[in-house]
Amino acid sequence: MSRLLRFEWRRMRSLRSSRAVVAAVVAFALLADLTAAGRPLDAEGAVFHLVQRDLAVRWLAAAAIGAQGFGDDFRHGTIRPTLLAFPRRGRLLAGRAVAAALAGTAVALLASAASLPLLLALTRRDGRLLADPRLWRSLALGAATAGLVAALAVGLAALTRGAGLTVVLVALWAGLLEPLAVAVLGGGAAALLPFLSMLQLAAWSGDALGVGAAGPLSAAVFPLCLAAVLAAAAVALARRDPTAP
Amino acid sequence: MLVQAQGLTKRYGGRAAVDDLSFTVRPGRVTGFLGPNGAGKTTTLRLMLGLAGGGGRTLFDGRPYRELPCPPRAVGAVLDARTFHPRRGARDHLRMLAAAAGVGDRRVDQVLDQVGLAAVAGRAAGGFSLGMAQRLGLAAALLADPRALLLDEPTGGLDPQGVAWLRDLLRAAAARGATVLVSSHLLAEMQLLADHVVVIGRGRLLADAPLDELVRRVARDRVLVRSPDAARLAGLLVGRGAVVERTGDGELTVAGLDARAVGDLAHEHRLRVHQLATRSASLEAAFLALTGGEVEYAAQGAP
Repeated sequence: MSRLLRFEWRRMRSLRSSRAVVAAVVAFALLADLTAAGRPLDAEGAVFHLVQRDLAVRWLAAAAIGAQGFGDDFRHGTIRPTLLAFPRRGRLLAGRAVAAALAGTAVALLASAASLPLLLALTRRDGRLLADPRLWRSLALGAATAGLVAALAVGLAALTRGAGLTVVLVALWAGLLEPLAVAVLGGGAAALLPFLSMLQLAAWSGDALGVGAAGPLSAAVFPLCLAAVLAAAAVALARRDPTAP
Repeated sequence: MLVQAQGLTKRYGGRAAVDDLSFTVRPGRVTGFLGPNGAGKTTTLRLMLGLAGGGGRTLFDGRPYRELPCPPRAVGAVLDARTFHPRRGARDHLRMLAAAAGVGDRRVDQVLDQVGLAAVAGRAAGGFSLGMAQRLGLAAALLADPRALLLDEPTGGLDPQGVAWLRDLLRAAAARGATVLVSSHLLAEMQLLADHVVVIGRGRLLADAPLDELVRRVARDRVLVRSPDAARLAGLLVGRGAVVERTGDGELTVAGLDARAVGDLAHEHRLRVHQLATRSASLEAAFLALTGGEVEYAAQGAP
């Protein structure tokens, strides 16, 4: 597994597009912080600026990072050297999902870490803000959700064989289908929807966002969905000839 | 490393691209893998490496490819020269594969030097010519100094110096005890390179023999004769049991008699001979004789 993780790290960092995604996420966070200049800042406001405000951007960036591996492999034919190096396809998929999850989490943490000092410098902050455990919980959960989205994108890219299509699917799923489902079925449905259940977990208050508070199911829905997608991807990788057009 | 392909089979619809194909590739020699277009060479290599699903199995020192502890250290393979991200630099591409093989970055610079790409190591591989891409593929295969090399048409796009360099490289690898399997369409090149050949047609095994033995067995030496009395000489040669083909104005190609016998016969009958030359049997002649009925794609008529 360590060979695979080193391979993935080298693969990700050797492409300008990966570095551009990271830079874009951090730049977005820093630019958005400027809108808070001069305003008072408490723990809830910090969670908004450091987690909630950028969650969609970080999920999309994580999807792009996760989708890149299999997407590029199928697009450029590099699936052959990849499979020659790692012929056990299930392990390759699992390793890629772990690597993408780590990278997605790291990018989200990096953006928050870059954003926090600027936010503290620009705002009139509450002195007890950093002592509030709910801030750190939201930061950790927000980063973890980005990691899970990256892992989901690995599975989707193995199924669709396209990075762009995977990012579009994630955007439609999280940005259109789930809000539509809540609009039709009511806020109670959010706990059963993968992306909105993650929003419930990472947000300061799901009720304030109209998606309801996190319930016992919230922590399980996305991981179950991720497991289903990765299982389907494992079957597809094993059954389909990955080098065929 | 002993490489044993056993009963390899691959079907597309009802058609067998590879049909119960078995052969063994032994260490310490270069084995040529030959066949007409569409014979199933690339499909066979993909089956051997587990890149395509199908029947049969291939054992590398007794283990399937997927069960090798670190496959890139055991087998170096190039199936397609252009398998790299076009915007990734050559050195970065190799460093990534080096991480997969568990070898250090110093080795990357060594192989870049070895294949002659050190000067362009930082350039994006998408701008490489076919020959440069081929060298990059070879660098990737050589990276972990594997005990077996499986190369599909590795001379494609290489200039004559590159072909000679590759020949030396593969012969040196075989001399060190490596197992080398090379598919190629360049029969003259293969005659210089291979010690042993496996010939397939329509996915079936046609020959698996040492190159010299195959050429001796399948293709015969021929004698070229130019004579102003070609018609009379042809009749006399046929009378002695030779097979005679009129290959030009006053030119005969004779099989079944050697040059001395042809010359003596002409002399006995006081026939003038302007040229008498032996054409040695070649791998090309043997290949054409073997695969004459096994060609999947053939041009219709003369150009």
